[in-house]
Amino acid sequence: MTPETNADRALLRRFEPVMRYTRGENFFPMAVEPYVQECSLWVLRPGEEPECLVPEGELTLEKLAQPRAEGFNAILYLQFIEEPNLSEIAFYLLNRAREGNTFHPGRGRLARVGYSSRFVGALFSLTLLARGRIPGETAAAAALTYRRLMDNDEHYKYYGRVVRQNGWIVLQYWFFYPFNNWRSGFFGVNDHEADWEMVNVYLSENAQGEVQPEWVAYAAHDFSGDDLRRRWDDAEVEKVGEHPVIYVGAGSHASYFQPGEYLTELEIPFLAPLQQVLNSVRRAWQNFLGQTADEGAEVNILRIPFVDYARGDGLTIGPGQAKEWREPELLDPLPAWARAYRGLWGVFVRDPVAGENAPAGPLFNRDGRVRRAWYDPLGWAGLDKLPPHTQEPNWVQERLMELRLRQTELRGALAEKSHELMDLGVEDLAMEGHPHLNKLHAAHVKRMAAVSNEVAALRAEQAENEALLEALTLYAQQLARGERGDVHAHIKRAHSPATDDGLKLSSFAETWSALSIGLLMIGFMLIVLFARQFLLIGLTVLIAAIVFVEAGFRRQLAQLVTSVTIGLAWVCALILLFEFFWQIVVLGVIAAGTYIMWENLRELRG
Amino acid sequence: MGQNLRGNRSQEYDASMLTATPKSKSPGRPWPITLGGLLIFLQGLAFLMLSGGAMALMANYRFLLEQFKSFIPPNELPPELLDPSRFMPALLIEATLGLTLALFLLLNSLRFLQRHPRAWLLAMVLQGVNLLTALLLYWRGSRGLIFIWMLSSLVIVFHLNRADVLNAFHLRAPEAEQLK
Repeated sequence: MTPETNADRALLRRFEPVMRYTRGENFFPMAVEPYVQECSLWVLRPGEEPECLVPEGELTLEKLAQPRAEGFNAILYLQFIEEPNLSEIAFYLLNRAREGNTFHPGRGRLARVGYSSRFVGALFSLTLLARGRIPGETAAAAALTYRRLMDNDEHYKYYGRVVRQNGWIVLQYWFFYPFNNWRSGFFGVNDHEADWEMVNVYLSENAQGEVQPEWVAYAAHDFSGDDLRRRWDDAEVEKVGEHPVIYVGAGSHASYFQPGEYLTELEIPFLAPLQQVLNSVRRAWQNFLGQTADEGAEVNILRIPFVDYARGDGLTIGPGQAKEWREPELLDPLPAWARAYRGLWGVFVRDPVAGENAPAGPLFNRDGRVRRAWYDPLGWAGLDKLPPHTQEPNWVQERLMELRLRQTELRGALAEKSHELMDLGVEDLAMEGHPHLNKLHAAHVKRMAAVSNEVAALRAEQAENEALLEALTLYAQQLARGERGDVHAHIKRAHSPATDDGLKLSSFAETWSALSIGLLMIGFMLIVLFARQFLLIGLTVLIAAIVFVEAGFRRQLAQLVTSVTIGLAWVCALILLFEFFWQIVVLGVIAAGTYIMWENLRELRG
Repeated sequence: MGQNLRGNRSQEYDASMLTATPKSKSPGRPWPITLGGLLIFLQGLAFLMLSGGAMALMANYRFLLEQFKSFIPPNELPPELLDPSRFMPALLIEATLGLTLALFLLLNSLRFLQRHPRAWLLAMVLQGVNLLTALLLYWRGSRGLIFIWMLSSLVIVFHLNRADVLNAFHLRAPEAEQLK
């Protein structure tokens, strides 16, 4: 082991995170070796049935890393669970219930969102029947296998990597989970075999060679770039000594800074154009018609809400906690299994949305391309534009010097160009009224315009630089005073746990939230079967009744009345436009003509 | 009747009446409120006149029919006109509904001008009823006055949802304040 490797390992251990899980979590970070030994390796070639390359029990990390050329569009994947033993699963589930390590969702996503989102959500759930998905019993079988592996050798392990880039030292912690049971275990979006998660700690080094943590960034759903990271001194970043605390999403294993229940929204790609149309109508309503709209910039009725439970009330892993980390394995030098195997780390179920297909390894996306988080850990969290804090005063001073130098250059250039412009101006005046100088005069005018533009551009740059100099000087003073500004200044969209403030539903209303969309669909089918002649009226009455009851529960009847009236007004407007199109055009033209005349007459009189 | 109404008015309203200047609108009332109240009042008045007219028509049906017969031969009159049972019930219902709506609109216009907290919502409810009725009648083939009915409600709904009207009823924070 080289001294560098030892130093990297020591750094990783010094800042390794404390992971707090939600009660009911089944899977925790583990070593990849025992997982791979439980797997078989498969290949799916286009138009063919999957072929088993290495059966279960024979696969090792060395075999996994062997080079394989399977041709374009072939998909390599591991399979962790092959034939679940139903009696063993039943026994396991029974035991688990007895142990009391079960999850209670509490107030879920259905009570937090409106009927339109619930309807889209119900349709999304139905698509699971048509899409490829992980069978229901797989999660339990995976939990059973995981428990067996832990009984043989209980361990909690992460993979670490230290990257030095742009003066930063990035500590990358990779966590491998054998299974993601967010959907089947916690009412989330998806289930899939294998799960790779990652957090970064960003350090800077001072002149004495001492490192200090500056930022942390956790991978989370729906967020990217600047929104992923928090400053080390941010009160939101909980720490145990020098170890940042991560609240892990139940089943999804997404990482959060604070405990709570996070509402994440899944956008359906093919509904995005419809959402854009709705947003455009809303903007037209606000901007062109001078109307006000409800709070919230954009409507997101076509996104499906899910709750990611990161309560932190379950097992805790980390230094000095209930369970401690085993000695980490460094991904530098990169082990062959991570470098050479570009396939999926769990079963491929042919889900076109990809949510139920297993992910690839720490280096790769599902399509085999290298992940940005791997090759650009700074850019991944939006830190590529910042120098480490310890180097910041020097950066500012250097930039100040550059700008001052440029200002001196600009002053010289301006003096020269202004002189030239005035020469041209004087010559231009002198040439006035002399026909024989006509051609020369035309060339002068052209040249004068060009020089004038140059002078204007130089003056603009000078003014901008002056303002920038002032800002940089103030910032340098701020840095000298040890002030670092607002800790959240870089965040555009923060992920905060959902609160119960807007949730004033009784338990009956929550039951209604769970049942209403199903009732609507059953009601619709009953009308189709038994009263097809009243389909339109029946469906309208059904929807109106559900909407009315819902609005009543949410104390939004006034809002409902307003929305319905506005909707009716739009329908009437369209009818009037249809019936009186040419009259409206004529009236519009007459009105415009009258207005123009009025304006012109006012100008004449004024 | 007027005395009773005056007696039922809130203290706030009486105070505002006492301090009212001889001007046509009370001091401090924004013009969008005055315009909104006026539009609702005019719509109510139109409904009142139409419904009242229909009522009067029904009350004097026999007299009017005789008048018609004096200058139009009975065989040239539309057969529906000669048989009141074919149109009277529907006309009675429509006139009664129209009269009720008219009364609500007139009362609402007064409350709107007083900027009563619930007046805006009631105005939206009444316009919703107006628009829905107009749409149903349009669906059943009615034309003519229906379009004026739709247009008047349309104008009122758009006016009611203007930012300055909503601000006057404290239904939305003014945009400028939100930006501060």
